[in-house]
Amino acid sequence: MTRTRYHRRDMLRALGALLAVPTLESLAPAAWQARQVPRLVYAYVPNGVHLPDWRPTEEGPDFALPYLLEPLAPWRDRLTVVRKLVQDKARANGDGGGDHARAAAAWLTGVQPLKSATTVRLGVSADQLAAEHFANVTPFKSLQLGCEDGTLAGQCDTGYACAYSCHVAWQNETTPAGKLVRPGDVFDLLFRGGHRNEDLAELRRLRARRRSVLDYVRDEARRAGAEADAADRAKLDEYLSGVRELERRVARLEAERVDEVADAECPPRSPESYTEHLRAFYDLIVLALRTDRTRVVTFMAANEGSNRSYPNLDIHEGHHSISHHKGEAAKQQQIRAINRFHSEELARFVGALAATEDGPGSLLDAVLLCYGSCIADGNAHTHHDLPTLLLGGGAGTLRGGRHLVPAEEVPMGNFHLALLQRMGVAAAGLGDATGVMAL
Amino acid sequence: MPLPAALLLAALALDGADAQARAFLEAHCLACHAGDAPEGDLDLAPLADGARGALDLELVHERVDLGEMPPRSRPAPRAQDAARFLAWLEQRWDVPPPAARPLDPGRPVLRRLAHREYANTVRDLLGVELGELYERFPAETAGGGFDHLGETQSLSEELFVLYVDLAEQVAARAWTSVHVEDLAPRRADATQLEGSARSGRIVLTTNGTTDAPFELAYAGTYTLRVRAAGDQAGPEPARMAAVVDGRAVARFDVPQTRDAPALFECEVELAGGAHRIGAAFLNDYYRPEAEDPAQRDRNLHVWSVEVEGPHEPPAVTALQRELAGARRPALLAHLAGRLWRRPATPAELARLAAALPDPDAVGDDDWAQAALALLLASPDFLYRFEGRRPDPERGARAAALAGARPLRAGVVALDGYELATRLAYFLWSSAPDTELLRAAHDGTLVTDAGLRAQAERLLADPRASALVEDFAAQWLHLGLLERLVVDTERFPEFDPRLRASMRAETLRFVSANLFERRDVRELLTSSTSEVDRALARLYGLDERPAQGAWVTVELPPERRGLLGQASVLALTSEPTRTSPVRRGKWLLEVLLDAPVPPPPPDAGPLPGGGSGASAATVREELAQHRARPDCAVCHDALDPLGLVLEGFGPTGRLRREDAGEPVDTRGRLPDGRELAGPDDLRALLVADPAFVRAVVTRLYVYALGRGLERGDRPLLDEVLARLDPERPTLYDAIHAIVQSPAFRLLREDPR
Repeated sequence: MTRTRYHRRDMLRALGALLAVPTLESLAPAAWQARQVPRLVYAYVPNGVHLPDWRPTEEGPDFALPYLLEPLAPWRDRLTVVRKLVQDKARANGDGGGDHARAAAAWLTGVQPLKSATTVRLGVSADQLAAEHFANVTPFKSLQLGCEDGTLAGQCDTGYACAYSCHVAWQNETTPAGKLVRPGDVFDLLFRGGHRNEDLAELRRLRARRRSVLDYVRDEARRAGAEADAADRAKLDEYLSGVRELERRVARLEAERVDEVADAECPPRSPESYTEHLRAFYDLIVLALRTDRTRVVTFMAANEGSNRSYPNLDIHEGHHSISHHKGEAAKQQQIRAINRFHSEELARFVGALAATEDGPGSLLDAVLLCYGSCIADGNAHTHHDLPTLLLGGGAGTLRGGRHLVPAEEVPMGNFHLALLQRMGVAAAGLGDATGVMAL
Repeated sequence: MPLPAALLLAALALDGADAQARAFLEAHCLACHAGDAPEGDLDLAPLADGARGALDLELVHERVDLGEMPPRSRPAPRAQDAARFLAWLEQRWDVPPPAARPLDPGRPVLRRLAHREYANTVRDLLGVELGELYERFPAETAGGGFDHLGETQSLSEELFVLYVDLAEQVAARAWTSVHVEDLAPRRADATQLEGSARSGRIVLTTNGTTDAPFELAYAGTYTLRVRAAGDQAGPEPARMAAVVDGRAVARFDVPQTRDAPALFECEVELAGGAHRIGAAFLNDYYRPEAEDPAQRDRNLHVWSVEVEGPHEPPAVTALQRELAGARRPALLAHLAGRLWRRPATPAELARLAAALPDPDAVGDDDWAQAALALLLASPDFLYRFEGRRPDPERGARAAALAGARPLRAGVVALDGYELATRLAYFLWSSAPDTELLRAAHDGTLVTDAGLRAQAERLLADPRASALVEDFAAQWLHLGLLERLVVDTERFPEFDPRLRASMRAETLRFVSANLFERRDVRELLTSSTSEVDRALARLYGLDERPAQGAWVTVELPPERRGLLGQASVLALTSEPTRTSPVRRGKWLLEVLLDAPVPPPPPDAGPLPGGGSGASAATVREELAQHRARPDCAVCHDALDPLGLVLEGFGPTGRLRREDAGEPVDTRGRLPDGRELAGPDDLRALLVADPAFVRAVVTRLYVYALGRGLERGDRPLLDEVLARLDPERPTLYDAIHAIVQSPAFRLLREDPR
């Protein structure tokens, strides 16, 4: 396993953060880091936020929490409100409409998606760079979760294939990382070898032979790839990358057989309401991190441009429709209510992280949790000063309680690189990033 | 040197043509395609000044020729002006007219089986219904309106892992392998049962359960046996339940005492897999103060739990019966040919055999299962490779198909097996059957007549209903119905059953049109449709079909065709109200294949969205909206189409008024024509050749599994020309597409 390494500057900063908290003074940072590893979680919410209730007015540590951030008050010392992040590649740049598709696509990649409904071209995302780094460390190199799948033909953003607005995580320029939408499946995948109560003798015999199946199909795919043109070869590369992933999982399953998580810990397998669905995934993320099944998670509370209604808030129009409020007060109130709802669910998640032990601290101390949207103002489709929260201690690499307002606009990619650095991931670059942001 | 007179005349004529073209550009194009930020980055101003620059004039030619430009929201040019402009492009700038371009079947693209195709394929080839396993597929991400276009497909690592898992599950279901040792009784004694064992038994002193894990190989009827006895006290004997996974499956009185335990037995249906099975003590009794020491404490003692079964071992499958007695090499070749939709080569078969376990060691059934799992996970099953099989005739056949037209370099014909696969997935969303593969093998399929005959046979098969379920449902956006949210307080008629009925009506309607070979324009005008009880009530019809029955009914004029169907009217509505804009957009995009650009971000896509808005206020707000020039560009065309349908509420129910105000169904088109209601709209659409072209174009894209390219233009024109202009049918369009070089040729060069 690769030991996590930090820059000296980060160490000093981490030290400062620890010294600021008197109860933790006795813990030397080295010991802390030896026993806690950082985890990276990205949570995405669509259609921007109601900015007047999102942005704090004071800079520095003593800022007052605006209405939409109030639910996070109990963890404000683990919260950084990051400002002036810009995602230029979500802008039109000559491509016309389609800000929602571009927003989700560019959020973690910093790449302008190819404008086409029938061809997909983007780039690798920050979380997947981290995933590759942990590919041989944890049983699952990453998890991609979301409450909405992506099949609505004709209903994705104009001129763009649906893959863009439904995925923030991308393995490479043509392949979105597989997103799971059913909590029961995720639980089975993580803790039951992918199968619940169906392990028949016949299946068991077949599964025992997985290695030879993988050997065979790998050779066949390579053989086909050798004769193929570039376009076909890209498809076969996707296939081969699946082979490698499954080989790793087989190796890990053979190495360990863990039943540490009881059925009772499985959240509702088929949630009946949206709230239940969100909570099921947030709970699964806690579970996956607690058991170190993975260290990298992306979660889309909904697809970008989502037009779901929120009957639990007595909101019956679609979210996207309302987000184009044209300044109408009643609609802005509804947007605010939807944003607040998501903040409250986030707070519940953060509370669960804080309540879960992890080494000498809590999971909240260990995570780098980025929550936000790649649209700032849903009415005007802006992509600068993006709503971005950073939560957690990053295993001693991050201090909170801040409203961070850089002097200049910062490309979103620079922010991601700063998180990757704290994860110990050496990334040469990411999309249009120009450097590593100082956090 | 003086110019020859003829040339001079030609130059003069061109001069005149230049001026005319300039006038055309100024009148119809430059309002948007000029200036600092020309629409679509296409600046036509230099062209008006006689400079071509790097302009893509083929594109300009195509858009004008198809009537896509100027857009529908602008006044249309006179036909002769457009024709003169096109001729000018051809003569002055050497833009080849579509028919003169080299024949090009499009970029090659490797297609993966879409999930629905995978499910149909294993059903038809192996007799395995995926059932609940299908739910585990991640959603296909659609693009270009369909879920299977090669260049929008991807195969994530998660999906690959699932493919391998499914391969194993499908193999186990397709081919039974019974091992006698899996049927032997299994017993857990006190050391394996949960709890602390004392003298070879578990003692339950309070109400509670003791159980042990059991792995059952098969689902079926099992006998459970518990050896138990009690410490007796109180008025009743000790009571016990046999427990499976925490659930009591049988209850027993246990009057025996620990010196004489008895065996308690019950039969139970169990699923295969991991279970916890054991016994529970149900009636604890404890009176330490009782005088008689024998009446103080009741307990349950459990010695062992035994499971035997299943009593009916799993039967061999239909596939096994079909292939019974085949020798191993023949069986392997057969299974590979079936799943790969082509014969496997000897080298491939050798590699397969080498990857399989030794059949003499594991037995024939295990070996066959392993072979199926291997094949189902292989790239040749999951992908539809084309152009890989050596066939010296490919070039000659391509030349024959091209006839007099020039052929783009690197274009060859599909071989019979590749064509069989394309045909089967187009018409059945499934793999070729034996007969189709035979036609591929004997060479008849690659002939015009052979191909036609097979297409006819496939269309007559029930599996062709996939064209309706998969093509029509996606074309018409019926998927939106699944997520339709309706405010049921306001519209109590809506429930999940009605949602299903809406979809079913439209699919039955399209199915009848296709398979009864009716004029495709009847999709807009037909006066009959099939309805069930819920729809009859929604439509206010007199018929009252029995529950679950569908009857063909004569519809009142306003209900005719797709535009009167609840599905279309509902899937374009908001939860609390209708949306004329969404209805207009659906109409343009789906029925006329005229995509509408998105609104500028700060415009707000749906005005009047307040949940209290009435139809009248929506109409008013739309009118204000159109007063803004940047909105008017599109909404002048969109709004009237939707407003005409205002007589239908958000669930498709007829309404004369909304929020107390009478509903107005008039609309005024950009060119000034007035529509009084749905009848006028229908007449307008039926008369527009864009409708037939739109349907056929969508069908063509669906058949090929790729987006449209430049080379498709002449090929599509050819398909359309094959239709009877008096009576164009979907049925004929399918045959025309199947016969088209686009369907039968392959470009080997991806650039």
